[in-house]
Amino acid sequence: MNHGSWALSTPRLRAVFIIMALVLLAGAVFVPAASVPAADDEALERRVLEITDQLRCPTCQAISVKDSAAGFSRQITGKVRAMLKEGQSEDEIKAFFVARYGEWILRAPKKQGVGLILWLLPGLAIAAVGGWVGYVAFRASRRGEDEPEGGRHGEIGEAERDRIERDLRRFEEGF
Amino acid sequence: MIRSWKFWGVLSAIGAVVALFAYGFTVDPKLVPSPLVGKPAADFTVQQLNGEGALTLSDLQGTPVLLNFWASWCVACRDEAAILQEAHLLYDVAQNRLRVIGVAIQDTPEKALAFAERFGKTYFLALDDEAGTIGLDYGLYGVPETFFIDAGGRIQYKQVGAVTRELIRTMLDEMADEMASPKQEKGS
Amino acid sequence: MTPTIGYIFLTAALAVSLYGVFVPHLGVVRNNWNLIRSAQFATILNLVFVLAASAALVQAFVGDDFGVVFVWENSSSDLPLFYKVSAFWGGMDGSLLFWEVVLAGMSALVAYLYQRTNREVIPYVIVTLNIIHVFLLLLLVTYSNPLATQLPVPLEGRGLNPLLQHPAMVYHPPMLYLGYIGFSIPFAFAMGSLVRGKLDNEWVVTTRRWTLFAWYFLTMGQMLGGQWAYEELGWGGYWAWDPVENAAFMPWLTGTAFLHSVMLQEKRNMMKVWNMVLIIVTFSLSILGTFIVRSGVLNSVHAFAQSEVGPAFLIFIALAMVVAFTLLFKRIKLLESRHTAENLISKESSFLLNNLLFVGIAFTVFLGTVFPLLAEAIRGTKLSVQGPFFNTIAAPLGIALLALIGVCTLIAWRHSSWRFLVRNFRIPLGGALVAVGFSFAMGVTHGGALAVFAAAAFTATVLTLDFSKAVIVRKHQGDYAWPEAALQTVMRNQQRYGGMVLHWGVVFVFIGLAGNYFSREYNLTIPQGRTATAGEYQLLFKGFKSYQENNAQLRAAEIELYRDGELLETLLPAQSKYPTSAEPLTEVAIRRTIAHDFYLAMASENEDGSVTLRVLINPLVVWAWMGFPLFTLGVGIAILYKPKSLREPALERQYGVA
Ligand code: HEM
Repeated sequence: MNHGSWALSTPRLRAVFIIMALVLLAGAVFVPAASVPAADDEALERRVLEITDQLRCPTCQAISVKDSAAGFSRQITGKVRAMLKEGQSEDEIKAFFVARYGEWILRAPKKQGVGLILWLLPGLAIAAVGGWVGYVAFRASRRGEDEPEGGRHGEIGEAERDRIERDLRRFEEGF
Repeated sequence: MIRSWKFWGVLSAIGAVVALFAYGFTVDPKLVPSPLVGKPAADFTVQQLNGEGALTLSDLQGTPVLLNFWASWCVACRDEAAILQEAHLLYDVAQNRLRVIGVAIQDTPEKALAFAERFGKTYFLALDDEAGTIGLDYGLYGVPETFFIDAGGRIQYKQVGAVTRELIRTMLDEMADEMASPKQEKGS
Repeated sequence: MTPTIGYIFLTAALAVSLYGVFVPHLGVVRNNWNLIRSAQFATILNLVFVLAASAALVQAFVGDDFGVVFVWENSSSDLPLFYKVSAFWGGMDGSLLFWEVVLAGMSALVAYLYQRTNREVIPYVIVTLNIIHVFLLLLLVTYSNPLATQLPVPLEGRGLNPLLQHPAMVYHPPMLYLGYIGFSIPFAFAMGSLVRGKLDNEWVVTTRRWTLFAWYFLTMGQMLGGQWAYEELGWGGYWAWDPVENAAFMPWLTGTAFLHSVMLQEKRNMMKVWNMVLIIVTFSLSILGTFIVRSGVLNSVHAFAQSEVGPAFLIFIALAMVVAFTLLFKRIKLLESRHTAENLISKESSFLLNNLLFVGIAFTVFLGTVFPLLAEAIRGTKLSVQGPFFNTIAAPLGIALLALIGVCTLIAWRHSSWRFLVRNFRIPLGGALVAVGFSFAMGVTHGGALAVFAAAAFTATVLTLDFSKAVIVRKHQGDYAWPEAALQTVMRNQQRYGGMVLHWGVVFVFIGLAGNYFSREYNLTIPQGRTATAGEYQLLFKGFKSYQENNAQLRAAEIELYRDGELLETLLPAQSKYPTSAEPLTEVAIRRTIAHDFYLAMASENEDGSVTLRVLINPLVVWAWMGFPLFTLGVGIAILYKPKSLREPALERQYGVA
């Protein structure tokens, strides 16, 4: 193996860890300062942005209500704010708009019914293919351990074998 | 002939994707059906633009309603202005079979009035509030949009974009048929 | 040159492409190399013809010849010359011609470059490319003729969409096309190899530079598109997961997977079938991209108007895929290699994982893009799949890729051991911890952002250590000065260190993307002469201003931007009116710093004289744009690398085949 290693001697390693610990500590100290409890309406505005980001702008369609300056988007934003002030939950607010615009208004389908296919399929597909490839690779690596180096093609190296195959084919095809 | 199941799997996948896109040619991605069709129309009370009295939608039950959303800044609304006015004169004033209502959205009273005068609109015109209460209740995407509400107060159809004479006539006939059938009784 | 003569050239181009489809096959059957040469010549002639046709169109644009329908639809006499030329690809028909021109240029280059080499496959490479030409030219002379004329000749054109009047829109489409079309070349070589049954690594080695070239332009095209969206659309982001954006992203993903997995074939003789699959899929996806833009099947802001070419494209994609996969399965026995990863912990495995992730993301994007259609077919109701879905699924996969770059760089070919890994991972993992701590200290608490920073720091540490170690070794070997040692290191292994620079670019882009997790937003209404606050900034609204710029009328709000009482800059967010368009456009004002962009858009001018502004504080955006120079440099270095078998004199030359 021509890779060296970057392992450090123990005292230096310890120093690195101490520095890291200090940085983490500094982080812990700074965090409370950074996140001063937000003013009431600031928290409300944040909720408004969060919810309107999940609603599709009826006019422009490509972007969210939050990102849109269109009249309807501004009115929807106002309605969301009003409903939040009345103490309605995010689900209730979404249900309000779904009842009027259809599920289309949600920028991602609910995780139920057909929507479930969408949400689950990528993960399942990746897991299935990954599992299969992993299994094949694992079996192959087992087999590889049993055999001597280069065992499958005898004495001939890869490049050489390729050239022979190529020459043979050229011969066959007369080209 | 290729026997590999993988090959046929790949081919079926290609077929499925092509079929899906081919299906895509048959539908308009921009047209979103309203979930409100078949449901009772949301009630509202509005002041007339010219200041002559108010109107509550539910008071009109018993007669079908054409509820049109428009705005003075909307280009397509100009195209349909004459058709709506004509429908008002013919079916409402002359035949008393239909009420035509226009609600302007995201507009100012002055501009809306000027628009109404320019196109000689004489039917009931109102202005939605600044929060867009009525517009949101009807799930508007833009203007013009027109709802046909039957005598029982149920939304029968929603038109996106300008209305046509044929559409109004057909809807009027359809809503009359609905009334004739007994199942509509609970609607009053 | 008149449009009619241009059209005649298009027809002539169709004729020579048909020649290029049939004659090479004849040459192979008759064993007559002269026939094949003539087809190569025809391919070069095709370029001349389509260039002539394009010249006719450019001339019509520059000369304001509104008798040409396409010019009338996409230009006007007041348009700056710059945009008159770029309006060429601003509409559908012209962009199709542009596509054909680019493909013709590449095909001609292929015909010219490989006259003596790759002789077994080249006839069918020429055939494949010419089949694509025939398809495009058929469309161009029928449904989609950009040179069609009309009478009477209108006095004025309808004008170019004002959104397209932006420098990025001049470069972005051609770059995307270079990318999309560039993948046709490796695809054509793959097909040539399959037809001839010449299934060694030659096609992979020959097309490596083409692939890198295509990858580079696809990458740049997308980043320029993002920049355009960010500056011109005014909603504050650069990527909306719009179907058309996804259409460009999918071939990029599979193309990047291909770029990596061909390395396995070249170096370890693995993945031969898979590479074929990847290039077929990448090519199909790049055509699918054009299909999505042109068919109007999916709801997109960027799409051209619905048109008749949609079905034609769909049929073409379907046929291309069926033929390609049939060829592949006919030859699959020849391709199946007995080489697999010998050890689970090896660079080979990391490549498998790399491909799994890239293709997994591509699948996710594909599914999300077509899902509205699928749901409608199944259930009959419309639903939306936008950012919230894509971000949720793709972000973790992307972060895994980012960390995997580091893992892959560390790990050795063939086999590695856990012990080795653990030992070498200590410092990079420490780097990740430090990054998390630092981010925390800076007040970043979002989990997604922290994950990106951790992965980025991990990978950056690995890349730094890996490179420094190599430079140190070189310095001691040759007693060089540091810069020379570094340069030598890079030039002695251009692929490895070109790849390293590219991966640095990836690290930067990811850091920039992570900023999305903690951007802040304020909606402010400010009366004239008053101040409002947005986070740590104060905005003083001085008043409105009107002025003219090119052919647009601008109405701007003059905003003085302060922090801690200190004037930073005067910003002019505006709304612009173009003579040919009713709706005003938003012209944003951006103050860029390393920490964040201060992004200011004018939402409305109110009747009481106040202004309503949308303020976004977008962290780290500038970092993402660092991808531009890094990707350019990285590809510049990596493209210098010649795989082994290219460095040897070509066998054909040795054998002296005439
Ligand atoms: C978004 C992620 C990535 C992008 C955009 C990217 C892009 C690239 C590009 C363009 C090249 C140059 C190819 C050539 O020289 O032919 C390259 C090289 C390389 N990539 Fe990536 N890559 C990414 C992720 C990865 C990952 C996850 C791995 C790990 C398996 C990896 C491993 C490599 C290797 C080993 C090289 C060759 C250079 C070297 O030996 O370091 N890349 N990459």
